[in-house]
Amino acid sequence: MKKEILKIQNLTKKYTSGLIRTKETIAVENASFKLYSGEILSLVGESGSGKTTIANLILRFIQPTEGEIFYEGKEIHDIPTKDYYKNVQGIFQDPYSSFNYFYRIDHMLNQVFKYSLKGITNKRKALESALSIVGLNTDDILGRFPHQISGGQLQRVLIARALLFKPKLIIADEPTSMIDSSSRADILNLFKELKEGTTNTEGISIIFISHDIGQAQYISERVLIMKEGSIVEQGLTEEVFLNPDHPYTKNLLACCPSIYRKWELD
Amino acid sequence: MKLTEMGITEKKENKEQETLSKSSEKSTIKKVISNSFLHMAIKKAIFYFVVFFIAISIAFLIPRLVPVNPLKYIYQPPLGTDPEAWQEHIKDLEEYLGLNYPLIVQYANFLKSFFFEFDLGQSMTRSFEPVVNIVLQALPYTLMLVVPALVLSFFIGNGIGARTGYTQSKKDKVFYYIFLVLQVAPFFWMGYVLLDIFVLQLNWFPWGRSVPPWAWDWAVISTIFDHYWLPFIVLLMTTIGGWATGAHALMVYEKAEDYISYGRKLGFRDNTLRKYAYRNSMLPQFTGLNLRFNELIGATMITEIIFRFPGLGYLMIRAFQALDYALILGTFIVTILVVVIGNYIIDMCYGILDPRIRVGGKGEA
Amino acid sequence: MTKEMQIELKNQEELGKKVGIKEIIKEKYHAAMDRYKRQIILITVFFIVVLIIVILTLIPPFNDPDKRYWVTPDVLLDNYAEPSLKHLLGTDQLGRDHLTRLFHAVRNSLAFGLITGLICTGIAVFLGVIGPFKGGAVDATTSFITNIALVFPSYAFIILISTILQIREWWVTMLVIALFSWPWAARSIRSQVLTLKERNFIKVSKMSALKDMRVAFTEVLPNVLPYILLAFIMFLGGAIIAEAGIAMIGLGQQNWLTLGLLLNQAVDYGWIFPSFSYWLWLPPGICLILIVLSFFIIQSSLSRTFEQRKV
Repeated sequence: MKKEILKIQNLTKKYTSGLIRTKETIAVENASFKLYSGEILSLVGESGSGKTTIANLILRFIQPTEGEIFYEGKEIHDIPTKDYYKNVQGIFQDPYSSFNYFYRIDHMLNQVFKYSLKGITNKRKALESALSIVGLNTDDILGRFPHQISGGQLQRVLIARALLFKPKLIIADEPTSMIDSSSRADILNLFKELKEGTTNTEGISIIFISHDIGQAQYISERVLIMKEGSIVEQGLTEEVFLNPDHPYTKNLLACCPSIYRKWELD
Repeated sequence: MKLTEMGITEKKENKEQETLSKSSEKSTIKKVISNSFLHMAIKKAIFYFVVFFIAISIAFLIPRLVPVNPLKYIYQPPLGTDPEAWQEHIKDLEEYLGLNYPLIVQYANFLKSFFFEFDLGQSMTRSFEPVVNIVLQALPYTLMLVVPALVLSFFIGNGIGARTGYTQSKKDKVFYYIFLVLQVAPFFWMGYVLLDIFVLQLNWFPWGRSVPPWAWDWAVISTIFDHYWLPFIVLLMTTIGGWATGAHALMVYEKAEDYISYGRKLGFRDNTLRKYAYRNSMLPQFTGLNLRFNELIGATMITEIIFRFPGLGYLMIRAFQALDYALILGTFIVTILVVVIGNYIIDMCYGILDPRIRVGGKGEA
Repeated sequence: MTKEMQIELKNQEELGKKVGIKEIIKEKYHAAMDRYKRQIILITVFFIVVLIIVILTLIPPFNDPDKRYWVTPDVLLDNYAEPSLKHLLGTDQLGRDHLTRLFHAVRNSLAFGLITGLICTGIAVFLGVIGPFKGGAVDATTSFITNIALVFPSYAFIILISTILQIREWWVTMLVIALFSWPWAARSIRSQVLTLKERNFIKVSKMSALKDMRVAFTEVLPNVLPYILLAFIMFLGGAIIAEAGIAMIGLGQQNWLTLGLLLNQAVDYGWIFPSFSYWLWLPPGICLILIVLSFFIIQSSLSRTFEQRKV
């Protein structure tokens, strides 16, 4: 039986605005799901369905209004910051905004060693192995400014940065949506490799957030469908996509162009 | 995250609007206007009241922290008086003005008499005349400098600035640099330049401190206006410069926008396009109105001091120099009231102009 | 020292500074020269002029602003002399060379503006950056203070404080100006920080276990530097003007010979009326205009450059 790595219970996030007459906006409503070690779970939904909010909640950037998130049985807010981020890392949608344009790329990688992984002595070697996993050459990356390399490469550097921690869980928030299509497949395959584990890394669980059903189907074992802040359907990928229960999922699938089905023209 | 919020609110609002629009469309729109506008009006009013309160509290406290007894300083004993008897006399005066209480009680008394009776106390230097009278005499002089200068400079400055920014011909460039110099030129120094040229060299205007109090009499009014033109022109010039350079810069940006070149390619007339660009560039100028108004009040006070024009600024500096507690507070309160009410009016105008506040809705959150 | 340790050391060095400082400077210099040619020329000319004035104030005959000139020694003072070859800007009521005094005044005014500008910028940066990062009550308080200060009748308070504090020291004027001129910059820096805070690199830094304040000062602040620089230049010009204004109505500091003090003397000693000595009161004002104008032009051309960079 696989080990349960992340458990989310009745998670709700509401935003209130205004001091006197408050206005409530529900971003995530009563979401519960589990993630087992060594699997890729896809969160699929249209933009505005609360996927990114869930990612931000798991990565502790925002506080939940109600509900709990357990990492390996512990409530995540009880775990010391440093320890938590050694195990859980995130990758974001926009690689261009993930880098501080004021500094060279080295700055971000150095940060990891300076504040989080103080124990590592051979930084260069750690970097080289992490960058080689994502298929980058160390000399091409170090000493460059973020604007000097492509979006696909930036996203890979970001993945390599996450790998430096040797994390057990990676939250990938639409990691392929803003990079050119030729790099997309590479990155998807990279995630698959990371899940299986390579010679240098252990298998990593991944929460893959996307609005692209095709990608979700390609990469993941299980899938969650979100709509307007709540999870409408979850299950194994094939089951969900072949026999959808919820009308929204059916709609979503119907909108998706398929290579095996002929377009019916009236 | 933001998308989530927006998406949901939009849907909810749509539902609300659908239900409402069935009853009658016109009344809904009206309702939306008044609600969000009223909301803003109340919020701003509370904010400005807090500003006012803090400002008058500081103005109350600072003069009283100076370790000098102004009564002793103002009322020197006549020759041959018994010093002890004089001491008694001063004490009586203190009691009469309520200065013998501890600071906190004085503060409470002041707040009580100001908010409930609009009584600002009595001036020490002007034979215990009620300060309200003195201040209300000075107020019109300040207002007649500030209000026309602000309104005129806003329209003239923005008009000229927008013109020079849009056409960018050589002649306009010269204009622009003139206004640039006007903007950075220290108004107080310009005051002296004008004073030298028009009063001392050309003798066009009178020189002196004999500005009569306001009266509905032609002779009095014309004397007042003789003294009025120079400070007014100084203020007008310095504020016009600021507006013109600001509008110029905004217009240059606006002209480079895509919709202008698109409109040109569609064959719109240049005048129409200029009107569009002008309207779009004016909204940021309106946000600057508060700041400019505050600057203008400061400039007015200094100009009054330079030209000895008997407005609030001139009154204030004389009250400061004598440490006349009640008069300092009085001039201050009225000045701050002018600032606060002016800012409030400007904010309300902005609220009326900005469709996001006027119509309410998504942009508010 | 073993070989491994040597390699390790070398690696660390490489990570720290891959490219030599010389190369970085060279690269940056060329990039900057290509892009900002006009601005660089402008700023250079300004600094050269300022430098010349500063040097002139250190060498004779311009090094002593208090030196009096006599027509016949100790008997007849050469005062209110009109501009001539001997005294290019004439002399004042005590027979002092006005050009010398003007040079000193320009130098001191600039120094005054520099210090005041630094104080203002410090306050604005502190309040603008700390709010968004501490959040909650701190943010509410700082933005409330800023909003109030924005509509505060600052001129009235400047006049009040400078009249009532009977001390005419330079630091009083400086503090009074600094205390009331920071709000707009604090607000614009705050809004910049707020937009930067939404960028993902802030999240990335947080995932490297950086504390909030460190994120604010090492990650966000460098990106706001252009705005801080612009605000600083505005403060510089503003402080010089404000000092002159306060001094001219007789409330300024008395111990630095600044342009403000010259204007103050213009009023106090009747240079305008009754003595009509235009050579005494026109030049300080023109200098004031030139200084503030050049700051304004530098500021606006810099801001245009920064905006181009952003696109």
